[in-house]
Formats: sequence, structure tokens, C-alpha cells
Amino acid sequence: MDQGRRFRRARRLVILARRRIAALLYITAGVAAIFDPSYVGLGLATGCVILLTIGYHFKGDFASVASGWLLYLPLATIFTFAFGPFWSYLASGVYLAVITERLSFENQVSVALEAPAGVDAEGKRLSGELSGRHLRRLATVFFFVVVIGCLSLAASVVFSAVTILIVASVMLIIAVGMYATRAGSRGARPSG
Amino acid sequence: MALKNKLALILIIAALGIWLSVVTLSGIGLAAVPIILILLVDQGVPFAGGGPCKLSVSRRVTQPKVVTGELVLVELTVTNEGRDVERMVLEDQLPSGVGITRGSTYLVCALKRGAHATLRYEVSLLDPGDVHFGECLVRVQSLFGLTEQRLELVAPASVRIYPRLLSRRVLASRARALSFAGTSPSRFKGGRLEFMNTRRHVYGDPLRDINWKASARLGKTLVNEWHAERGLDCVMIVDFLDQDLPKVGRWSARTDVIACAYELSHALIGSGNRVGLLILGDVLVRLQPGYGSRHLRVLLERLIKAQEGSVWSARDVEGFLEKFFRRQYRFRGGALFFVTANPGLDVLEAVRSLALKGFSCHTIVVNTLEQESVALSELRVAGEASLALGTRVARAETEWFESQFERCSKVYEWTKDAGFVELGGS
Repeated sequence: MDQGRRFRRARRLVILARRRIAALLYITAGVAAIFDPSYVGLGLATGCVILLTIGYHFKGDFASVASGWLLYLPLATIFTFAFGPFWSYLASGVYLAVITERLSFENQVSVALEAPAGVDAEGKRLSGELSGRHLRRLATVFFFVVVIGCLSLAASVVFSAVTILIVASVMLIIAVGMYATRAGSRGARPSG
Repeated sequence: MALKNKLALILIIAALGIWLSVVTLSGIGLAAVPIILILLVDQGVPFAGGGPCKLSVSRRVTQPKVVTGELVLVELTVTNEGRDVERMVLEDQLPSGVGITRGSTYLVCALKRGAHATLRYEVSLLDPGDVHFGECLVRVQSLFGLTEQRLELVAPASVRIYPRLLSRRVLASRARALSFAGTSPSRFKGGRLEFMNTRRHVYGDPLRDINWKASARLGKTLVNEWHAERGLDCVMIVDFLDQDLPKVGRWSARTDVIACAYELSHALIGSGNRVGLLILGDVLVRLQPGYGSRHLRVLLERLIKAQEGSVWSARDVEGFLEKFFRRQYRFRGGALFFVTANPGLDVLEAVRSLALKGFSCHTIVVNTLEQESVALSELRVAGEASLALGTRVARAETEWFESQFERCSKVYEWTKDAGFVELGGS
């Protein structure tokens, strides 16, 4: 495959990734607007679409992240059908945290890979590696949230809902402590 | 380490959620769980990794000397000599007047300790002169981009851009215009261009001048006599005054003036003349008349390095000629070539005054009206009608000046496509 075709392919992949994530958020906003019966939900979904369009066009972090979090309440209302009134908030939060973080990352990478005059193979490879690491780290976050959710769910069988929050917080601190310790041992090791 | 807007936003959302949860005794604030996890997972590694961030940059350009329009590959390498960098944005800052033809000046990557990343791009350099690459901006971020450290690093490199020597078909009028025979001896000493006579051999005559056939026929040693080729002392006065150098946006007539002066000096030196240089502008540049390709190279270097300005004007020309070109000034045998893109009254007065003092003056008007018009239309500062009117007025002004110059000097118009055209000449 010649160099030029590789550049074009890399560029197309990045554009597709950005476009897919943005499309996912647009669809989410549409679903939220349809299924949330209140005017507040409709207003928040409209605000999300406007901010998302601005963020997508200007590749801005703030607008992209803000657009996602505007859907928090409408999405939680929809998730109530699947997860119940309490856990829907956590599900909505996790979904939006992951999607908005990935969108803001793709925005930054696309500045490098969508350059009008193309990009060399090394630049594309380095960005690809970083993208993989970012995805893995997001998966770690997701894993922790699921673990904490499961533990909290188990605790909620015995204790009341307020206690779940406290249990969740304690679990959170323990999880982060474990992660930081693991990262510390890895960071101390010489690399490269 | 600076905090980013994104971090502030998600912290506000988390705090608001926790507050609402406490007030309403509900799970509305559970969004804080993934947010805080993201924050702590993001910041966990840099805290644990520790150590200062130490990056070094180096730059390499493939060719330090190029001709206008030639492509130059620039490689900017960042080496990590400190802790692991989870996410790094490298942004090179291009000097003005440099256009990218291939590649990007922006790189996003991770950089482990001891590793290096290279940013490659190809630039096209169009304006003669020196281009200095210098600063680049490095933003060291956490993996989720919540915190950032900005570093401005310097990786110097220079590229010198030379004008392309325009080689074109020499018209009869141009050949006549640019061939001079002066009073100074040419570098071709004892020039052998035109046979004159034969004479008796005297002690010291070179053997190569002996006419063997005639000597054998007449029984005495005869040598050939040749016309010694004579050159002219020329001084090229290049006008880099701000007010005489049209500029529109990024376009400047400087490129064309340099190309014209280079072509003129090449033609003059090629004809065996001695060529000196005086550049008006920011800093006075002067070069004593000299011969040969080495001198032409020096002359070209001076032309490229010269910067436009408003310190030295045409009023100062006479003083400089007297001061720096004394012999040439005293004998009044030399020729002066004024090269200007937008002749003004100062240049006209100087030419008049020097012509009255016996100098053979030549004015070369570098016609850049077409390029100026194109640059204006690209900037969209005026409509088609206004541009056409402006071009006509500028053309009329130039023609008036040319008619005034014709009274005291020979006038040539130079354009990129047509080269030198003698105006009002036979």
C-alpha cells in the first residue's frame, strides 16, 4: 500500500471514529427527546445537539463534554425502565463519562491526523498507540464502576439506599488506592 | 501543571450531583462515581510515577540552502529524558511566509522515558531570504487531558532561499541593452576576442601570440595583436525602501526585485563588466565593483540578506558613491543601474542629479502590477471594478515616472515573464 493511500486511510479512520461517536450522542439526544415526556428533557436534548454541533465543528473540549452531560437527567429517566429508579443514574453517568471523554480525545487526535497536507506514517502510528492506551484506560474506569456497582448492589440487600452511597464511596476509595499502588509500582520500573 | 476547562466542568457536575444526593436523599448524584474515578485514574499515574518532566528537542532540515519553490523536509524530534509522558501534544510554529506542502505541524502521542518522537513535514519556500525555525510548543497532558503542562522549547534551524536565475531567450533588443563596452580593463586581460594586426616580436611577448605561418612566410618573427576587451564599472542601486516596495498581505515585491537584480548582475558580470552593489533600506549594504562568478555569489548573498526599511533612501546615493566608490565616482566613467519596483520622487531626483554629473544612468522599473492585483483579489479587499481602476491608475503613475526617467537615463521595464524590455529606445 503506498504512503498516500495509507495517509488517506488513517484520515478516514479518524474521521469515522469522531463521526460515529458524535452520531451516537446525536441519537442519544434524539431518543432522550422522544422518550422523556417533560419539556425540560426536550430543552436539554436541544441544548445537547447545539453544543455537540459546535464542539464537533470547532473540535472543542468544553462544548463536547458539556453537550454530553446535558443528557444526564433525560437519559437517567430512560434507563429507569431497564435499571430501576436508583441505578439508572449510575448507568447514565457511566455512559456519558465514557462517551464524552472519548469524543474529546478523538477531537484532539483528529487535529493531527486530519491535517490538510496529510501526516507521515510515524505520526499516525504514535497517535494510534495513544488511542489504544486511552481506550484501555477508559475500560479500566468502566471496570471499576461495574465492580463498585455490584458491591453496592450486594450491600443494598442488607442496608438502606443512603448506606449504598456511603458504601460506594468507600469502595471507590479502596479501588483507587489499589490502582494507584499498582501504577506506582509500574512507574518506578525503568522503561524505554 | 495547569487544570483544563474540561476538569473544571466535570468537577462542578460531580459536586452538584453529590450535593443534590445529600439534599434529596436520592441517587441523583451517582454520576459523581465515574467522574471521580476518571479523575483519580487519570491523576494516579503521574502522581505515582513522579519526577520532573524533561524533554529536549532537535531540528533537522534536509537542505540549508535552496532555490525558491524547492521543497525542504523539516524533522523535529522530541526526546523524553524525564518521567513517562502519558499524552503529549507537539505543535511546531512556522515562520511567516512558509507554506506546508506535505505533513502536519501537530503531533499527539505518548512518550516513554528515553523514547523519542519525530514530527515531519515538507515546506515550500517562495521568498528569497533567510527563514529561521525556532520555537515549538509542547503540551504535556495526563491521559484523559484533565491537567496540562505547557513548555516552549527552542530548536533552531535556518534555511537560506536563493532566487531562481531566470534563463530566457535573449531578444536582440535585450542583448543590445545589456551588453556594455566600457573603459576599465576586463577580467579577460589581453582579451582575444577581436584580431587587430600583426607586429614584430619583442622580448616578453607570449609564445602563444606568435603567428607562425606569417613568420615563416616573411622570415621574421611576428606576433598577433588583439583588441583588449574592456569592461564597465557598474554599480547596481537596489531600492528596498519601505515606501517603494509594494506589499499586499503576505505578498511583497521584494522577491521580484531580488530576481531582477540577480538577473541584471548575472548579465553584466557575464559580459565581463565589474559590478558593485548599493542597497537602500534598513541597513546600508555596499559592495565594491568586482568580476566573476565568485563576486556574483557574494552579491547574491547580500541581496538575500538585505531587509526593507526606511533608513537609507535615494537621497543618500550620491554621498555613498563619493565615499565608497571614490575612483569610479571621480572618473565618472561608470554606469549606475537603479532597480526599483515603485519609483518615487526621491529616486527621480537622484537619477537626475547623477546624470547631470556625468554618470551613465539606467533605471530598471520592476513591474509587479499584475502580481499586486492578484494578491489584492485573493484578499478580497476590493471588487473587480475597483481593482481594474486601481491598476489603471497605478499603470499611469508608473508610465509618468518612466517618461520622467527617460529624460535623464535609459529606462527598462522588467517583468518576471518577459525579462528586460527597453522603453522608448530604438
